[in-house]
Amino acid sequence: MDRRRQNIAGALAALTTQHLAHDDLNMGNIIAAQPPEGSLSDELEFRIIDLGSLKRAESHEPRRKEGIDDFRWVALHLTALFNASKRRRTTTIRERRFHEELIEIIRALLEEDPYRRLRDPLQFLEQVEAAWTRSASLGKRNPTSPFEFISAEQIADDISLRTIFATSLPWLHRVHSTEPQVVTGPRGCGKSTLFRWLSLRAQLQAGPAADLDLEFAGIYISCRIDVQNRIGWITDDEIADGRRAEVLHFFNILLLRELVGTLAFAQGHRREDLALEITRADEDAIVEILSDALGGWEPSFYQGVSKLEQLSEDLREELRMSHLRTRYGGNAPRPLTTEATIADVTSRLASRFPFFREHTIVFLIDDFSFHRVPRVVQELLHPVIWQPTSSHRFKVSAEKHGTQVGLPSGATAEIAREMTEVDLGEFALERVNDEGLQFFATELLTARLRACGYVGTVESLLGHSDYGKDESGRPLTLAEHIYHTRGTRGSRKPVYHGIECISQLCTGDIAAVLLVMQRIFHKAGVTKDTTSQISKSIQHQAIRSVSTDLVEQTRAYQHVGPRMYSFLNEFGRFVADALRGMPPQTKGLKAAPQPVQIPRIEIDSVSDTLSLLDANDELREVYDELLRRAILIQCPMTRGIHGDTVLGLHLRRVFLPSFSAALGKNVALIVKPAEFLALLANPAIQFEVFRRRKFSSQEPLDFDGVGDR
Amino acid sequence: MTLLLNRIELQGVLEELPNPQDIESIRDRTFDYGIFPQGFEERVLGAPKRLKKLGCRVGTCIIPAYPVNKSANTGRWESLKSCLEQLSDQEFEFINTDDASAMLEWLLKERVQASVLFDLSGASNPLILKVLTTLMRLDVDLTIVYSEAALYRPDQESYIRAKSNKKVSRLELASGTGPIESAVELPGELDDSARDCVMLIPGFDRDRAQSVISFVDPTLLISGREQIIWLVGKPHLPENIWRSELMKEIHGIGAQWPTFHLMPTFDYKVTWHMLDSIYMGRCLRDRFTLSPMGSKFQAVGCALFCESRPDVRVVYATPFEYRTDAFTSGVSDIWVLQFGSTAQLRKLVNSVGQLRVLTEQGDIVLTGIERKWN
Repeated sequence: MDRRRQNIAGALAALTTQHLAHDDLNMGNIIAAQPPEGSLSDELEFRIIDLGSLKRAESHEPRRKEGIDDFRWVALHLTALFNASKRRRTTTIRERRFHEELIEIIRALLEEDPYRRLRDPLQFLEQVEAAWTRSASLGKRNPTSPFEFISAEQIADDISLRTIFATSLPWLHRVHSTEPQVVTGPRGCGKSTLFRWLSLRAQLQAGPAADLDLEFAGIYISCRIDVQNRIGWITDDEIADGRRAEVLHFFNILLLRELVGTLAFAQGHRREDLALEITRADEDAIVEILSDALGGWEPSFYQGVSKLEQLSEDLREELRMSHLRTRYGGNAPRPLTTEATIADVTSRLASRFPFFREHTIVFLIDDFSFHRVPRVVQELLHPVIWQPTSSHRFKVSAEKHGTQVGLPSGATAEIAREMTEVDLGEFALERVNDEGLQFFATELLTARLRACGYVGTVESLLGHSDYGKDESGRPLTLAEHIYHTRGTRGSRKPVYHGIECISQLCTGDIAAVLLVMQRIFHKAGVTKDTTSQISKSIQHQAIRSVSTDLVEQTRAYQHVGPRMYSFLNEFGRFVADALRGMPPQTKGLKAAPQPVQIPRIEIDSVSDTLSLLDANDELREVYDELLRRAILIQCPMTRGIHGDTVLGLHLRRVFLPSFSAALGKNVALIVKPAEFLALLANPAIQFEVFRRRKFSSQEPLDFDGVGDR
Repeated sequence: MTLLLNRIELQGVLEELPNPQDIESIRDRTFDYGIFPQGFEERVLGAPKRLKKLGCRVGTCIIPAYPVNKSANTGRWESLKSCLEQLSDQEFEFINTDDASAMLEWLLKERVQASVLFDLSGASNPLILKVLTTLMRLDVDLTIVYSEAALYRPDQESYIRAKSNKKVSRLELASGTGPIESAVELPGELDDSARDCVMLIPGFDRDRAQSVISFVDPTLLISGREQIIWLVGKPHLPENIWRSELMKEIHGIGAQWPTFHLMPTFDYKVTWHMLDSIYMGRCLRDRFTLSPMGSKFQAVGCALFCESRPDVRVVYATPFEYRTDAFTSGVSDIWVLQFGSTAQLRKLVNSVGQLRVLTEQGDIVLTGIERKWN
């Protein structure tokens, strides 16, 4: 539509400047034609033909079709294009906005009133261009509230994304490499935000103050939009087998569409420190590469619009057709692309562009989890994703155990060799210290406050966590405060407050911190002008209420939700009871005895545990979901005293305030594999068994004395 | 000559669609095909019995059978079979509800303008959407028939009792959630990122609604109230109005909920109109997920709405367990919707929002351009 309106406006301008009227601009008289022989361009042009009714614009000769002058013909063409575009069924929000604006332009073209009607072709073109530009800018806006965008999916444009991104994200540099990776972690840990931020599109918008030395050229693809809705219905081996070639083709086209779309974007958004310039000759080379990749495809191009933009639009249409063939059958007009297609395209791009030799193309496939991409579809796509090649790489993000390669037994040896798993939950738990988390949380919140014009700072609004002092003047920890005030009136005082406490709630799940902050601001009625500190009481209530909401939310998880809720509830109560009911521990500590903080279960044999789970489908499902939903975070494997590999499972910290527990860990609940299964099967009874055993000191705790908060 | 730009409004399209008529209006009709889903409610027998009395005949009976909850859903099969044998003397075609779209397409593709009767009475919401979406891709002469139940449960007495004991949750008709999936036929043809908006037409069970929200984005359960649109059913019979209150209590929808509407259970046109109004108010920012778990006629409205707005994704949620003894009993009025040609219906539905250039007299300016720009 974009290219057609420009050509039509151009023709109108040509006629008007010559004071001529065509007077019969019907469809038959507008043709798309090859350029004249000898022309340097091979782009199609819209031409106006049949000049039999050409007359001077001010002529009083009768018109062929009463009342329809050239401008009204254009209005009729635009109306038809509008309807055709609606019938095409796929759309973008930008196109919707543009269509709404176009209606007023068509009205102005049809208008009779000489003062209101649109009769200047240049003005017409300007108005259409302005509408097109506005349709994009409507989506680009800073958040109006610091917590407006909590999920990355809610952020419509990359500029907003960049505004609220915190570069101190502790796991940024773990992911910012060309290494093929499966990035897993709790929902809300910022996988999507990070992948989008690492994309070349987002990085090209960095402006002169680029905050990252680009290691690779990221191409971001969300499985949530194109994959889940279009091929997510293929859950059966037989159906998958029958559609193998078309599904592969669909995925290839999806990758190519984003790749070409990013190149088109790069044409209009240069970053000074990146040597990525795409000339017209480069455009032609890219067209040739794509044409070869798509089995001799010969796209037609129209004048006045970037070839890469047109190519991207054509690939979008091919994606739609491939989806329809996948769903309803039918033959493709050309040979389908294959497992080798992407490698072929990226290696030729690397040969042509030094930039892609220095910056390997990395496809960032976001949320490649079973609930978006069924297991059978994942298996079909593995040969494309984990193919060893030097010209491109893949990184996929997924929920823990949410992808075939992320499962302990899921990856074949060939695939396992081609990638590593980065578990952000584990990373946050084990490799980020309190200071790192606090620095990041402060930067994250500061960026959001600043983007919304808030005067108050994180420090001025939240203050620092303060749990009082002991008799010697030593500051108490949160755990000590809870322990020492147990059973007294002091236990009713608010404890969860301050930036240290809030940042420590995060076990990778950044969204939880944002939810807490959102609730605190809401309860305290914080406005842009607020600078005074929010009371501890309000902070405490807000943190507890978000924590309780998140605990309650687990009930809603399909199928095993109620069982997960029961496990979480019993585990949380156990942790809180241990803190209050067990004597503080001194082993290995020179300092004061520390109250027991036991939010981790350690099972002394991974292999035995997994064998038992494999033999029990029901409990296996509960276990997988506890990890997938990040109710439990899997810790790095360690060696136990008998030489077995120990499986550590840590309760996500944000749940702990709901049970009035502290946030640290200084001891683990060590259980045998069969006991762990009993915990899953009947948490109320089995935690009670442990409560009796451990609280009566029948079994000593292996207190490590670290990780206190 | 004055030329005016006119946008085809939904209201005009709705006026061209049929209103429910008494089943008497199809007396002595013969249908090439009849779609009679199995089900556990007594009312699945209502329409077949009346059709027999009215002298109607059916060529081939297509029987969608549910793969879940089999023992309950086949509980009335023998009675239904005996009713259908009196309407038709041909072999029955059994189809799995999961494959309903493909099977119907296979059966009816070559049968242009075949007359098809679809009995909604035992059809689940997903099945209604699948059947109607598929039939609108074909060209058949469609008549819908629907039996109301004599008694809908929970009844008012149980509600009053449960409310006084503060145990309203015990009145839920199902518990837990089985699989949640995007509808294959209605995947939501939107090509870019946007804020999620969930349009929920809930049933009398809390778990499924919560699971659908969680499926779209779990953070919505905690911080996304304005992005969840609750469309609570409003029964057309005055004696059942209290059911809206019960549903609100089950789902915890208080008066302070910012995005809550009462949606008639019996008027599919109002369903479509309400969904479209919500859509129009947000479509320049949001991507929509619709989850229909309400009445049969609401599901018909949803099917038409989704056909006209292909960017809306539909998500189905199946209960983990039904309380099959607690749904409905008896048969009351039986209604008919005569849609006629589904190809024409599709064209009409898709015309919503399209532009026309009209003369002052209201004639459409026809130039042949439309065909050629397609």
